[in-house]
Amino acid sequence: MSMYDFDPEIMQDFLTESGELLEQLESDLVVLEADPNDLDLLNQVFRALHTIKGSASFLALTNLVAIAHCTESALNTARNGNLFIGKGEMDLLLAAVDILKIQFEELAEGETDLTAADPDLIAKLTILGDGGSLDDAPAGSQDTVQAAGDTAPICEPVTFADGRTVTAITFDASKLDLIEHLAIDIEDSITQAIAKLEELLDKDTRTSAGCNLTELFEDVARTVDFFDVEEVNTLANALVQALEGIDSLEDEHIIQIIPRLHALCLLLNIQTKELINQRVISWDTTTLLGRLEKASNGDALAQGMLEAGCDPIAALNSDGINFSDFEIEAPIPSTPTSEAPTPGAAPVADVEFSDKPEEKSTPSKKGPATIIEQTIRVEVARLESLMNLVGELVLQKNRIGAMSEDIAKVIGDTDFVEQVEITASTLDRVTGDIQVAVMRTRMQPLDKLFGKYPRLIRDLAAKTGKNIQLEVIGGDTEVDKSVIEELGDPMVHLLRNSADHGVEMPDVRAAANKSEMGTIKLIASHDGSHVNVQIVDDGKGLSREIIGNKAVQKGLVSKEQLPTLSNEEVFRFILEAGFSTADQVSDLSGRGVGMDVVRTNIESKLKGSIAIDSVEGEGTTISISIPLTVAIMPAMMVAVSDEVFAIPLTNITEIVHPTPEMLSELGDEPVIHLRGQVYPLISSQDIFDVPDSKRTDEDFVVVIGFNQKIIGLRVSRVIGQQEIVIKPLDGVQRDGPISGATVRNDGGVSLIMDIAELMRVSRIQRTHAMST
Amino acid sequence: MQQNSSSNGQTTAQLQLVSFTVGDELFAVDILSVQEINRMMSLTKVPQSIDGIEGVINLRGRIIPVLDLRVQFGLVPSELSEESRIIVVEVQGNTIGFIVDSVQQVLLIDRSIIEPTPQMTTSIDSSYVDGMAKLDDDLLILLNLDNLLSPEALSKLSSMQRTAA
Repeated sequence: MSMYDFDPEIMQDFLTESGELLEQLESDLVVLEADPNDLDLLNQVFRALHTIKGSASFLALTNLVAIAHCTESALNTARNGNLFIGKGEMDLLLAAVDILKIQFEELAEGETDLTAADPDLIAKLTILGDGGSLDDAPAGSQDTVQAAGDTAPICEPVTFADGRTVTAITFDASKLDLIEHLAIDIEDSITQAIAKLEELLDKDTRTSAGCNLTELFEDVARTVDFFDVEEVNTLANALVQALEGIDSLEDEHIIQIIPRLHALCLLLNIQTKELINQRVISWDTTTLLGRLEKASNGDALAQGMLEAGCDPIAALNSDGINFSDFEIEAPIPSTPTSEAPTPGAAPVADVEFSDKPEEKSTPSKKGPATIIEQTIRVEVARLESLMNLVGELVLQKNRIGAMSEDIAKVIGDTDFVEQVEITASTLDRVTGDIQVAVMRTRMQPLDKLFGKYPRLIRDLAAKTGKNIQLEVIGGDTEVDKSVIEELGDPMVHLLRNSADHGVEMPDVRAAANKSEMGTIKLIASHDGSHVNVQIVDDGKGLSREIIGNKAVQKGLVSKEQLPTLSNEEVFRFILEAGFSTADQVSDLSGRGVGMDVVRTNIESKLKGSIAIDSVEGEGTTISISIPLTVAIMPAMMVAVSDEVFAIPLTNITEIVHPTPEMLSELGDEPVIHLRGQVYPLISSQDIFDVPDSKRTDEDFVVVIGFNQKIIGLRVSRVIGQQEIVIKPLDGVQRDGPISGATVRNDGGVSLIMDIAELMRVSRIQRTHAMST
Repeated sequence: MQQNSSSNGQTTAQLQLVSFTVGDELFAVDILSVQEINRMMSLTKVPQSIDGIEGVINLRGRIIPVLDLRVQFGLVPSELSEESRIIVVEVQGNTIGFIVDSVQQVLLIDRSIIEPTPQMTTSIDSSYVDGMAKLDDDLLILLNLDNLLSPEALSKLSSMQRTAA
């Protein structure tokens, strides 16, 4: 079948929905490995994959369907108790998931020619799907094993007086189980199609009805193709072919075609039902198909064959199929007028499976699946613009509040003023609630992130030969979407570190009287406006001695200073760039790059903090505390000349109003003396290029700590603390120590200082000053 | 139905424009690209920003850059007055504002009266100009916002000014 051009939106929906299913499926598989007998979970995995496959076949993604199909078959066999999912089987399933992920990425990049799965993998999964075992040894030990052969007639065909022949067929188990689901798909499409047939009559609706029908019939043909039963395929293909060039036909031909298409639909419906009973009916359809083809080619048929509005049974009878008898034992499906399904429902993607697919429910009684909409997808950009508007609303609300006070001052205490005040305070509450509600729309559970880690740990354990289990606690803790995005990389590094350097090999653990199974716990919880994430392992712990020596060697601390540092301070050296105590660099970790990423992302991007606690021999706990959102942060507003800037409060250690004796110069470099310590001092007016004409005295020094370095920043005035909403400053700035902008309480715009960049710039300025 | 935007009473032969003055000259831009026109508001200067960008403003919670067209056209920077306005436009998906000396009116003109730009008529780079139209006794200059305000145009301007400096 040809490739279809799909609306990019359909493709996007597929990627989002199936992408989520795939993520869920992957983590479910890893859980399943721990408990292979969890039938509910197995069913869930199966259904997820089935849905992906269904949508993919709708989009004609052949390579994706191929791997999804054989994986689904294997899962189905397992579901029926004919396959035990051990480690080897799980490896294959996960390998298949990996292929699917690659294919999804390719699709996201606009590639339509997808990477095909390794034929060997497909072959192995197919063997599993057919109930075979992985070792190619004769499967004599397993009495449940079925013949690996495909569809094969086993009974003699029975011919009835009305000319139809009924043949029993046997599907292999994997197909058998899918029949019910697919039959629903087919029936659904056919019901929709029958309802549309009439529209072909009218010239105005003919073209659009033709398109709709072609889509429906192609869908049916694809689904039917799966069973590979010739009689059924013929019917489905005839439907598709009859519609080619339908809009160029004359009314007289259309009249001939419609009842025949309707008749074919009926036959196909009956066939589908019989497929579930593992039977195929053969009618002598030669005349019907011949006449249909003739009419759809625009050739005139003999006069008086069929009249307009003629019913499909008459069409069958006129074309030599005696249908009336048959009606008694196989009732015709509901007529189009009675229960037409909701139009527009995508037939494949929207199929919902009952919780227990094993339950034999008669598909014909089951109407088209209705899904109660409980969530809707909203573009993040829309939420962001909503956030902006709410921010502005809050601003205006503040002004009204201030004005109501002014009114009271001007006209004194009257009923009117009281009314204004009441209204202003109600407005205050409502806007506050709106702000919280809008913020909440951006919140997502950490499970979105944590769900990926069981697989990571599993693979790490396999690579290192260790036994590691991952426990996740508090995955339902919600944080802002942007936090989830920034937290991803550091978490992977920390988990890798724990698995690679923390947890010991099984024999080492046994020798140390520990259980051979190492445990890594991932604990998340809310703490006010922050969320805490802990990564706890019961591995060998950090050695103060080794880390300390390495730090001295690297010049991070002097030998004399080392003993005065707390354990925590020593452990923090592992966060330095290029710091690795691992003797060997593995492909997992040990290059000393990862922990640096951890610190950059958490401390400078997320404005969070990291604490490290460890007891040698017992394990390490890394605690991360991050604000719930990176969109809002507390800041100190300061004046630089006549402009107001925001400095993130987390970076400010103190603000001083220095006396002249606290300020001096060391060489050419200005410094500030604070309690016996000397810190470099820079002027914000220098940093931000304030022209001489606008310069003011800089009476205050904001002491800023970042990355264990401290500098003093001179500013003109200190205005006060404020919660600020961070907004991007795209396309405006070339470079410079600015990380974004925010809107002040008075509606003006303030720039936010980028502390990391400020530190860097100040260092360059100082070196420059010294060299000149 | 993505037909030409001929729905709002305006035929494809006609063009609806917003006209404004910068210096002594009368300019116009297509009304469809204009999002709104605001009175002058206080700008926050951004240190080390792209040249030509005067600062940023808060447009109902969004922070957008604002340029001074006089600087863009190589004239002396605007003396702000009661008449000064910020015209907010959308150029290639970016929202950007520019300061003009005054906003004149909304006009409907026939496309046929637009003439191609004669070379070297004004101090303005001719790629910024789509054409000119004669109205009674005024000469209207139609600006090409894509060439004037797109990020590429701005960064080009910026690097040109830097090499010149």
